[in-house]
Amino acid sequence: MSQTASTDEVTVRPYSPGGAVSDEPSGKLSSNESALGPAPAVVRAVRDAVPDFHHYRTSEEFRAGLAEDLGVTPEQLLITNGSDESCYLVAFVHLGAGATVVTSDPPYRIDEIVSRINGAAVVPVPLKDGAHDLDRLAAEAQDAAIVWLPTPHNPSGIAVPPARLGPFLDRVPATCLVVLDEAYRPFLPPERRPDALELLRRHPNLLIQRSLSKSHGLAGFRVGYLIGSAAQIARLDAVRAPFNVNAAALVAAGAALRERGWSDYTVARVRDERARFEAFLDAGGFTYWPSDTNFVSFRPRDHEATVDALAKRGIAVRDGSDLGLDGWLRVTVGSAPRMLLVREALIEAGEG
Amino acid sequence: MRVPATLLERDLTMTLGEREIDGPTGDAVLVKVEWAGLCGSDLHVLRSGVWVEEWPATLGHEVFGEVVEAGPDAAFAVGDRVVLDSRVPCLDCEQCEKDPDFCPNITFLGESRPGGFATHVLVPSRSAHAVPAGVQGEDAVLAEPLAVAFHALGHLEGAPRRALVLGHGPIGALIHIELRRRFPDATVAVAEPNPRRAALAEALGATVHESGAATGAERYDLVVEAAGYPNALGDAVKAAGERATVLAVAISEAESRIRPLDLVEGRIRLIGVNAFLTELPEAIAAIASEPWRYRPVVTRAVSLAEFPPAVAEELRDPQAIKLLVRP
Repeated sequence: MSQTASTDEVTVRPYSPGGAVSDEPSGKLSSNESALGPAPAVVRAVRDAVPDFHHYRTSEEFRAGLAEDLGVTPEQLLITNGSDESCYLVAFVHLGAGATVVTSDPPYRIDEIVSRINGAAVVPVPLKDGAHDLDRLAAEAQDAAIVWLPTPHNPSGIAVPPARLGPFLDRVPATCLVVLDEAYRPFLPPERRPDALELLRRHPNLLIQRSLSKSHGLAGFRVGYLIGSAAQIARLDAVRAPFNVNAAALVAAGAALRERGWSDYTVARVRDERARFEAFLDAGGFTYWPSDTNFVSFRPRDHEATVDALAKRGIAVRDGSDLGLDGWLRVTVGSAPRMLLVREALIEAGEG
Repeated sequence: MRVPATLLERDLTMTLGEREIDGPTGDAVLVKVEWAGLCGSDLHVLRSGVWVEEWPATLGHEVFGEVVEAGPDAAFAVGDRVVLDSRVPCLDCEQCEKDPDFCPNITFLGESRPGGFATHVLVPSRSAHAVPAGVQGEDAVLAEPLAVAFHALGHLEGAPRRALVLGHGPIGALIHIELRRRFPDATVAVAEPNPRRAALAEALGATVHESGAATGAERYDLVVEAAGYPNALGDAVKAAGERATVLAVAISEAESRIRPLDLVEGRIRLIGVNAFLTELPEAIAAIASEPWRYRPVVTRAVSLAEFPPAVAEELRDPQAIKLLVRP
């Protein structure tokens, strides 16, 4: 634990974003950003819209279009400033001193941070081989206000098998919210994506978080959304800032949703490079978690030599100690040339 | 000095070996290759052995690297980052005295002299172009094929409204990307049977057809033939509308059937496009300005040791769009 920030009642280790070792962003494999960026049509749409940005813009139009795409009503959707904002809103509305939340250990850091900021006690349930321990999570949820459940999980990259989600939700009391964070859902093969909307119909205590940061390459714009029951969404909508998603982000998000081919291509490239990297890790006998995301967490044998060899090539990865994985590294799946450099660095560090 | 290099033998097997490279004299520079790209024309040589002047050959004419030794009259200093001009004019003919860009005896790096599928390559200063600081080598190496795309589109006389690109390999894809950049309001259709290549065409917003022979009733005012399958040029002319331009870009020996009447009545401009002339610096500048536009074409990157088997895979079943090697 490097630093802490305290208020009167809470001590929270602040979030530290992924670093870089050079000005060249393609070497920054520390924040799970897209190697290809937004679709060219998104770039054009945002550039063309700049003269209109002296106006406030609400997210209504984007929300209506997204609702139609998803097959839900607009009232079931909340557009947020990245899915992080939805974590902050959910915690603000549903937590307070004396509340308990359940996360896996290691958790997605933002889930832990927003819970502590709002005075809740965090019950950590250790991952089993990188996977959520659904039995223990359900057991701990009996008196909890929220279960934070990212799937695929960050930092392990492992997803809950869809068939196990229904029985899990059946065991969580209706008084406890389950926040299913699907930021990495697009990287799952379609047959392993949960039917989240069907789950929502049966479990009104479910909230589904999604993001346009990863597969659509909009991380810096900060656009995410929550799907929930109209009643749940209304409670959160009532406390959000009026123009919580800015006009540029809304233009980008609207254009990105029309560019399905681009996100499909982005995901296909990630899956190709991830398969090559995992084959390399297998051949080298590494400990790693097979990933369903755009990152892979692995345990190098010589941590320092590996980080140095990567840095020499302009590549920064996320140190596991930032994520509750001491001794591990989490590498974002970058472009084919960058991933070749990663493999080269591991070989130089005596790892391959 | 002896350097690791791929060696293409007369029997068209390619292996990893070594070759002797002279130190630079005169204005020559010795370039340490950081990235080299596999071109469709390399695959053509690997299948046929054409154009090779000395065996074993070291192919590779899309090259980015760093100058590590410079002759006394060189225009570059050690440490300069460069992309190489693939063209080797004879410098011995009347045309070369006036303008070697139009040399009728032109040959190419990797065919008439050892190329970039090696750790080092020796070239005269005129064959190197500086790459601005801050541009990544893996982006800059696309400048040579992008110059081909620039040269092809330089033949247009106006802005196309409806374009058709046959073939979405590296050149077809770069032409598609350039069409989007230059004519953002044009619609682009692509004919490409390979799913990976078709996926990039879709990602860029094209309507994708599986076959150039079945692109429907639509007629296009620009058709780019970058596929080279038998009768591709015939399909291109059939899809061309009144006063359309048809650019023949693919390097292919497969024959096509064209009805002269279609050309005549349609007043179609059919233009053969070979390599490029002066467009390489423009291509470098475009990459420096918007590298993100071109990156999606790179789908695989391998080490020099991994390169011969990767190329063999590409010959059997092309899967990559642009394959890069890092010697």
